[in-house]
Amino acid sequence: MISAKIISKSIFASHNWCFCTGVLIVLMALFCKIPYWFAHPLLIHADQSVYLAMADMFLQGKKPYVDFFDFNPPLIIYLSTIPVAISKMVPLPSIQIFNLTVNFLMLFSTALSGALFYANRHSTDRYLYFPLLLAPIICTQTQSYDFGQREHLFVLLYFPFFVCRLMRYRSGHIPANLSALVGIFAAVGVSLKPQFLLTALLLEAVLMGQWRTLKFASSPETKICALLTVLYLVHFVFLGQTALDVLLQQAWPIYTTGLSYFHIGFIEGLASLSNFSYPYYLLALALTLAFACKGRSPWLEPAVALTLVSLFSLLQAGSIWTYRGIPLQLGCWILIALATGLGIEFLFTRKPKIQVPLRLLLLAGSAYICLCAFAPDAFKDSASGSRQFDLAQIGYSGKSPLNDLSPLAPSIVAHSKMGDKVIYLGRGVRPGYPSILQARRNSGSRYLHGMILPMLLVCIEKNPTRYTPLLDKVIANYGDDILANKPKLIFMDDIFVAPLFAQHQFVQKYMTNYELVERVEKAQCTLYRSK
Amino acid sequence: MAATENDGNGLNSPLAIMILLPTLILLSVRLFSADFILAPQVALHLDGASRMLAGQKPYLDFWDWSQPALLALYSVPQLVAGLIPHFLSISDWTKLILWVLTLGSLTLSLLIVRRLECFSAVALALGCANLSVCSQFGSTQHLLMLALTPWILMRWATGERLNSSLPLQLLIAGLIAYACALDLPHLAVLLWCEGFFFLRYGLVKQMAQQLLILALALLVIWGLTLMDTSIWQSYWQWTIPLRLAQYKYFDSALKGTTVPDHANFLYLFALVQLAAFYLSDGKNRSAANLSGAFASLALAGLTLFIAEGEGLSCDIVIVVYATVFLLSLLLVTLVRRNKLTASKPVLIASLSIVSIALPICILSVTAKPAVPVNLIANQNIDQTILKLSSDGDQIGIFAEYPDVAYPRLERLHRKSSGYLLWARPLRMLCDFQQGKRLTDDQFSFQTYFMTKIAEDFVSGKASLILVEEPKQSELLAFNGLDRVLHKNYLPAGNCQVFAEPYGLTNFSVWRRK
Repeated sequence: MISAKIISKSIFASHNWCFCTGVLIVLMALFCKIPYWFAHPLLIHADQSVYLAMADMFLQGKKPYVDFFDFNPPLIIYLSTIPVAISKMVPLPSIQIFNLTVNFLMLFSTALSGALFYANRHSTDRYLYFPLLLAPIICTQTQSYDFGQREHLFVLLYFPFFVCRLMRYRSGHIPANLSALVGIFAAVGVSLKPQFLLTALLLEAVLMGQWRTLKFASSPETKICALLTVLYLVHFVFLGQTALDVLLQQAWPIYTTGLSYFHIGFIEGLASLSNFSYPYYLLALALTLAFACKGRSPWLEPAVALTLVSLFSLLQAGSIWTYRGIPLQLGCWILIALATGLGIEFLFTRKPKIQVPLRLLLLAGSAYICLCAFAPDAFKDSASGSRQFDLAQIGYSGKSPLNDLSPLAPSIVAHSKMGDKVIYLGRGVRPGYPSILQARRNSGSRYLHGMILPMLLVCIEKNPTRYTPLLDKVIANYGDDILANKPKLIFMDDIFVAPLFAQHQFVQKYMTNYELVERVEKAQCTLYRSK
Repeated sequence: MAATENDGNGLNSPLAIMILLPTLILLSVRLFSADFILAPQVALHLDGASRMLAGQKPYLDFWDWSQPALLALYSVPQLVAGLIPHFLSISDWTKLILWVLTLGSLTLSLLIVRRLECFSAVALALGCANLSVCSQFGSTQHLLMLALTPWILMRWATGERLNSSLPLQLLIAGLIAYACALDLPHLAVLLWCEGFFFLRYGLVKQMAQQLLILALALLVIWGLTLMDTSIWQSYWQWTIPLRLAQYKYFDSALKGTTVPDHANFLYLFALVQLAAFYLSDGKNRSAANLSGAFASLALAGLTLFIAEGEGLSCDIVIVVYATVFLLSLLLVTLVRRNKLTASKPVLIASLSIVSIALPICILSVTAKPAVPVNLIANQNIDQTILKLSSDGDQIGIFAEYPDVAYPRLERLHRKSSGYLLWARPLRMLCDFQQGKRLTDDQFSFQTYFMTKIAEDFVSGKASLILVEEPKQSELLAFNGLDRVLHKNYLPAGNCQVFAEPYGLTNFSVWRRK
């Protein structure tokens, strides 16, 4: 065993062959999808786009929860100001900047974790480092619909902290500056949603239990993370009384009571969405590998904890929103990475005689896996073959595949001009957003999405006295926004909103100045334009 | 709980059997109670088996994607009932045979671990696992579990360098080979578990030998059950491609109305997996390996459940079985590890409490699923069948999920009729046709069963035909079969039934002219 360790050490120490292979694979994985994002400048999905629009409003000086409404804590809006601010300086769509920013975050997160690994390059765990580095990268590169969602940002921001904490408990070398950066990253990540903070706390408890010590609880990275998280919580006080009233008396009660509107049965999800089952397959594979490798690495226990805590979170969400499964995906990829690392270690330490062919096999195998994993988007992109949308119509140069546009975007472009205000009266974020953002128009209402409407109906079923006046108020707010902002276009959902608003004579009260233009079959809504 | 040790605490076989006894009693009482109904799939398999015994060939004279080995197994209760008439009904013989098979599986498993400290824990775990899936006794996944449990225990023991006797190895290998011939995905579950053992133990000579025995047994059983050339062809050309296509098939009409909701079970699954990883004794490698083996079995079951994509109770049996096995194992481990139970009397008392409380808990959760009263109250299928047909009549059923109707036919002393035991191919092939051409094999199967259905309608063998509304009715119309139905049968109203995973399902009823 000792001789095998010495042989392996010599392999790693005397030749930089393995190191170079690892770096090459990581770089390939990091950058292979960049051309894809340049070929799809308007590709974004609902939630991500609505936060970009809110960030734009925030940068214009509008107050969250007062001038525009949302259910979620405001950190994601603050974060979204970064791509929006950059897009104001460069002639590229904010959507493209957003996608590139998330790629940059992945790069930075990987660099941070890589720096931690490099500082501990002589550790006995070193076989695990390159596979581990690939875990959040693969998790990122395999996202399509949920790319840039809060859960995705969380995994990128939290992963270096996860690595750092494990190394801390393993008595690894953590440079002070890296520790501080990791703490800052983690603070941002865990502050995005309360369940992320809970996940981090549970993992910390697992680490304490595993090493049976409290002495690492107050390391620099945890102190910084805790301090910044507390500061973020304190900042709510400074949001202002009106914003707090909306947040505490409307948004969160409605959210907690009415979210069940978006809940679906597990089997319904399974049957209606092909990618709903993906995290579960990944879970089965990853946990089997974890059980097979049990006792061979101290990294496994926290990774299993992360995976199963994330599974609880996904099950508890009970909705069709697949992004809730991204932390679970990261946990699974970490476990798969650990199993791969242990496999590499086994091959290098136990089978030193087959070094050269093994190395070649390793390189070829890794490259093949990377190609297969990313090929659908990175190498088989059909953007060039599809019909194109001329970005000149929204003030940029270049083209975007027409398929990337949300169903309302062509109508918005056809019936309004850049900078006009548009309202989508519907029961969800989609298809109002990303259509309005893709067409480079602005929201004509404080309600950028209409999720509040069906949720309020659920609330009314439970407590009519409290929530009926609120629904009346929301509908009146929509009307007031139309009168005040005079949006050029109004899309009204035919199935849900039209009958509901008809009960309040909405069209007669607030839309007398609008004419019916067309029915958008794809989105099951009707378009009205100001006369 | 070391594999290589004898019972360190003096917990010998009688005590282990004492621990197992309450579970076995509860299981027997539950299984033989008057209100116990066998899993819906069992009724379907019994129906297929009775047709096979009557000389019909699977896939050619009647269609279900059950493999011939399964139908052969289910012909046993009918043969026994034929040999000893007027003693027990076929359903009771089936229960009895399943009970014997369960005891056999328990005995084989306990024979493997009889010299080990984990004997009592495994005994309780096996009993509880079987009790937890009692309502699905006889389903293919349960039959797999009966064979797979001794196999896993044997593989684990061999990995821990504790060899079983050759006859025992041959018997267990034969059983698992037969279980793999019952349904196609069973082999995948077995391979998944073997993957775990390979990663855990590497290449162990004795383990490789066992695999060789298994491979030979598999070849023999597959050869025997599919020897008939016509069955062989229709099996590979029609049934297997459709079975595989099922994994990519999404049924948007599913409402997920399983009772209880299987998603809730996943919480327990996650908790037990977490506990299995943390609580299985890290210092005792063999105990951790045993937990790992059953955890990976649960994960293989989860993969299969997700892949089936229908959420049926019969698809989640492996997950439930393996999870409850793990849970029981962990509970006993915790009790034994506790310092308070260091003395023998306290340990025996604690284990006794666990061995009584745990099965009672399991039974209270699983015995009578709380199907919403309004759904049950609206069912009128039994009355309709009783009113419009007589004892021994044949009834044709066109349903996406046959679970609903087959147990009723058996209880009401009616027989099934028609080529398709359940009508999934009608819908699948119709959906595949949308926008693209069927493959040659799919087309030939579609043509074949359309002709068969038309012949069934014309022959008028069935006194009643129940057609699931609206989908199956639409499909019959789409394929032009409604005209043949209308020519030979008269509409006789509607009936309703509660069925997983659709909720309340409507059937139109057609009476022979």
